[in-house]
Amino acid sequence: MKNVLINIGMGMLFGFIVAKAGVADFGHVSGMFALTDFHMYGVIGTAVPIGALGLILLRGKRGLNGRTLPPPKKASHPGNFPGGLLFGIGWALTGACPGTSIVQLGSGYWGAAITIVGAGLGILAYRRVHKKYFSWQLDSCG
Amino acid sequence: MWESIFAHEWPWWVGGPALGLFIVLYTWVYNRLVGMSSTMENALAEWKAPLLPKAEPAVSMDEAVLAFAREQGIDPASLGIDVATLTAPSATVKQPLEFNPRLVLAGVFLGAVVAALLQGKALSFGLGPAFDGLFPLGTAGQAGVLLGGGFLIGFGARMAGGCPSGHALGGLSVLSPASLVAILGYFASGISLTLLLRWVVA
Repeated sequence: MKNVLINIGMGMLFGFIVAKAGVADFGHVSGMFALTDFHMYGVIGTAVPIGALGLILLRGKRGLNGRTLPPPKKASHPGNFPGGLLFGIGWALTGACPGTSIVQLGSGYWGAAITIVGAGLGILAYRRVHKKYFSWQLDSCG
Repeated sequence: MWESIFAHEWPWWVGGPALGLFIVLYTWVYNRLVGMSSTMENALAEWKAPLLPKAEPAVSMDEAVLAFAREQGIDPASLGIDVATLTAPSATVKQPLEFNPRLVLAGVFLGAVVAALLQGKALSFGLGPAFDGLFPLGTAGQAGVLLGGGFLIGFGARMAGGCPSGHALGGLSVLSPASLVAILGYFASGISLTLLLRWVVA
């Protein structure tokens, strides 16, 4: 039961903060890409150093589940850049990433349900393509 | 106070630090970096599995190493195992926290609903005036844009090894070069496409 509450609670906290921070807002995302709206740069530019500082302070400590922190860095592989390019097109079209598409839906933009279906299809399609054509190790987190 | 927290969007200098603190909390709780595209992938992979797997006697990595060390006659301390904390009575009954992707995603949705209700947001199909302005295509056309764009964020995020929550928030915080490269990719195509679309519409 505690497990259920923590998982839902962590999700809710993320959904709430993302919604209030406006990073799921199409106007802000589009303005970020058009270089006319500073909001997203301000959010990312403050979130990252604060997150980085916190993770440095956590280094070597034990987390809630008893394991030592923090987790390993993300692995580099040849898909990082081309995948990023494809992702950027989708981000510019929908104003969403997989997480914020759910926030958009929760915020009452029900068209985002279509984005979520598309993202699910894209994730499943990539798994097939990856198995068939690429050899690099996929990251388990991210 | 209530008004400024719940009734309006937060300014960047509130939203950014709040997200930054969340990254730290999330890592402390799950010992994994924030990342919603892999959470979604895991949720899809586990779709048919029972939502709440039956609790089984949990053996942590440390406990397994301890058992191995004892079997082999190695001093557990030399393997970095803290025997005192592991064998303390409280440690053995404690269930480790399991990351549950489907519950986390359900929470993300609910958290956004709570934010929207407190803010008194109305339901709409499109993503607001900026979206309607960039895609003056009617409902069917906009649905096509969202489906295609959605496909690309799912496909691209997995290919890139993460989406912005994973690479920008999670990866940059641990200074991963992979994340920097992926982010350059997002912005190279995102900026080009947005400027092109704005030029076409205008």
